[in-house]
Amino acid sequence: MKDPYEILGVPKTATDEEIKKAYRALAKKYHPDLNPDKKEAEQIFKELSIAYKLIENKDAREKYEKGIYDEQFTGSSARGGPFYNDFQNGGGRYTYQFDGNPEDILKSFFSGFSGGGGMDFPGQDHLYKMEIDLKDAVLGAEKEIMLADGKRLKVKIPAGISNTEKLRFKNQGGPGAGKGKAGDAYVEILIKPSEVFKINGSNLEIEIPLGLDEAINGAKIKVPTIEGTVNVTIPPGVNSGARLRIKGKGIPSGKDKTRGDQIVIVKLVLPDHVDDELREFIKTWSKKHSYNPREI
Amino acid sequence: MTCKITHEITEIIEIYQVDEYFICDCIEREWITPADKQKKLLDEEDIARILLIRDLKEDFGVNDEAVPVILHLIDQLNWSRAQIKHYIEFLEKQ
Repeated sequence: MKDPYEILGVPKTATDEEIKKAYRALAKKYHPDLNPDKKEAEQIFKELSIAYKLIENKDAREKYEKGIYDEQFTGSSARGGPFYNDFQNGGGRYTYQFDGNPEDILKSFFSGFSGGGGMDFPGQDHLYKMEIDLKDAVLGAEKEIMLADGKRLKVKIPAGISNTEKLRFKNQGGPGAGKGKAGDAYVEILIKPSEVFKINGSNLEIEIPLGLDEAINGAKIKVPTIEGTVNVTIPPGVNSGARLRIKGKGIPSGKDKTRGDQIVIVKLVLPDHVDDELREFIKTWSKKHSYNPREI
Repeated sequence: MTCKITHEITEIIEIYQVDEYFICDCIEREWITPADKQKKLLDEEDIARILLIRDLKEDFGVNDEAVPVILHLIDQLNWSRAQIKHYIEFLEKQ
């Protein structure tokens, strides 16, 4: 761990006020949002924030001198989280909301071109992100999104949309300059991971626990699908890990949007408590029907 | 396929150790416009803006009156940069 006094450039006799002043001056100099092109600024800024936390007041300085702080403290006192500039490269939501006039920019920066500020430029494309549930991705849905200008846009999500797929909305982006057309708005779809289903190509997989009796004797059980519950017949003697197919309950894919299947993966679950009766029964049964599952 | 773009305020308080009152104040003053206003869900850009406001206030000693001015100037600067980048890309394609 580097010496915090050295990092902040203050003597050990510095007062709270002097330390704060030194920290603020350096923080201004190295804040990543003020240094978008300097990658090392983020690391320096984090070091500064740790150093400041270590000696910001008398209590902290005493603890530091006694060596009370450990690596965990220094890690947790670093400035965490994203920096604003990371989202503004080429435009973020707040940048789109800024009510600027593209003509002013053209006049200021392109006045050397023939026609100067009278040039026609199309507007900027705007990218929005929308999180949706797996159900909406599989079956399709209609949602709304608020654009930067406050206008609400209806987003029709087609059935079978993929994660990170972008939907285009013509002329809903930034305004054009001169006779330039408005840019387009793109809505990037992000599918929330499901706690129940796993995507495997165009199939949806689900793990279903089965009791001993159900696995040995077979059963009719209820299984959730993306559209609701269906009855599934479990054949007798089904093994843990067996894959049963429910046709047409998966994700639409291909040109004709044929739906994949839902795969039910069976998982054998023993009772919470294996009592003497079960133990004795299995012992007796195994003596007569011994088998080694690792050799099958 | 893992993605999480929105966070509840309680999550943000825990992860980034930001005061709940501070987040609500940022929303009330309209320094932040949550990605999902109704459910008060914030995305990564909202969080980055909240942390920037905290840096401005705590590290730089900026007062409440100056915060919206600075945010406005930052938005203006980013908007201008995005516009110029867009125009240059457009001109390069011509």
